[in-house]
Amino acid sequence: MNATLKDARILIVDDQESNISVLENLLLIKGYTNVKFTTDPREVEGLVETFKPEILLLDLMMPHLSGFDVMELLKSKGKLNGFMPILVLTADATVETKQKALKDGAADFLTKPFDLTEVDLRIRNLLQTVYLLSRLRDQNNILEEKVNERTKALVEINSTITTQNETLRDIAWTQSHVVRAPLARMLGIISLLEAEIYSEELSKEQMLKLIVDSANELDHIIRDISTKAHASKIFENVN
Amino acid sequence: MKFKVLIIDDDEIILVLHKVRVRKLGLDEDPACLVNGIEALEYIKKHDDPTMHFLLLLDINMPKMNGWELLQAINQFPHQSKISVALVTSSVDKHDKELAQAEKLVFGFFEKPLEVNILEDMMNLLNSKEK
Repeated sequence: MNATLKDARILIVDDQESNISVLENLLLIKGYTNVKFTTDPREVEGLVETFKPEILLLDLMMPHLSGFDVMELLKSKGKLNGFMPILVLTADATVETKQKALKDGAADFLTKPFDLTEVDLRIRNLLQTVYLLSRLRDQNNILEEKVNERTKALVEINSTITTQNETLRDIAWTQSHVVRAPLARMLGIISLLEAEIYSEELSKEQMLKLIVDSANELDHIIRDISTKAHASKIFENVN
Repeated sequence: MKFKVLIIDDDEIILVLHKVRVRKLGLDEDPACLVNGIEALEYIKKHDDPTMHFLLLLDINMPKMNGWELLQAINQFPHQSKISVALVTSSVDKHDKELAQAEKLVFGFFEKPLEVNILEDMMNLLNSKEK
């Protein structure tokens, strides 16, 4: 975690080069490796775009654009939608200034002249929050991906089960309406044979032939059912 | 009581089997064998007479005009003859039983094939309902 924190992209914006130099040296001493700076607040928007800082150290009193203007600009361009905390650097630590800065989107303050230990701790605290949030976001993405995969699998299972149910209904219908017909014929003929009731319409030979025909018909129907059952994977477990 | 028995079934082998049974039991020496509802309706219209008592052994699933459609057609035809209907199917499902409740002419459900004992039961049931 600490090693990752030290790689964080930090952007310093201050029109006073002496301030930048103090902060940059401090950060280098503390092991931060990815520090950029600018003395011109008009460059901030472009740097946010290209450098993608994870934390912004922002002076308030600057020519061309004040720190407030910069925050306003970033907000209006939607650059503060992700979590990029802004640490405001100010010599003017009045209550009004602090309140306005907080309202405009600042996360914390550093009062000039800088207390080096305080600077290090405040930056570290904010970066920790950034990393925790980013991990949370990663985990949410992983979870969402898992949910999507699972949903997809469930949809597939559901479709297989629907097909199986349709086949089962089909088989049940065939069972009661189609299978029973040749069987009823066979049973009727067999009972006539048992009672030795022969007639003009139905001789013994005809009866035997009809039994064979009906048996073949039944065999055909049952083979059809088996084929359907296999085709819709009825014998397979769905999970 | 003498009946004119109408065996109505699209399965010609069943027609012959039932004809033999009906004749053997002495219900009707020469029962009419009809392969669908249309033929049955024509037969009834042609032989309609106040002295007639038709006993229909009626299959449900048939092409052209099935058992239910025939019952509907008979109800719409102002017949003078007496008509009793036994539904004869290869399998009785619940839905068919429910439908039959609403049919005044139907007095019972019977499974194919109609054996002697089933036909005897049928006649006993019909006679008990006649009283």
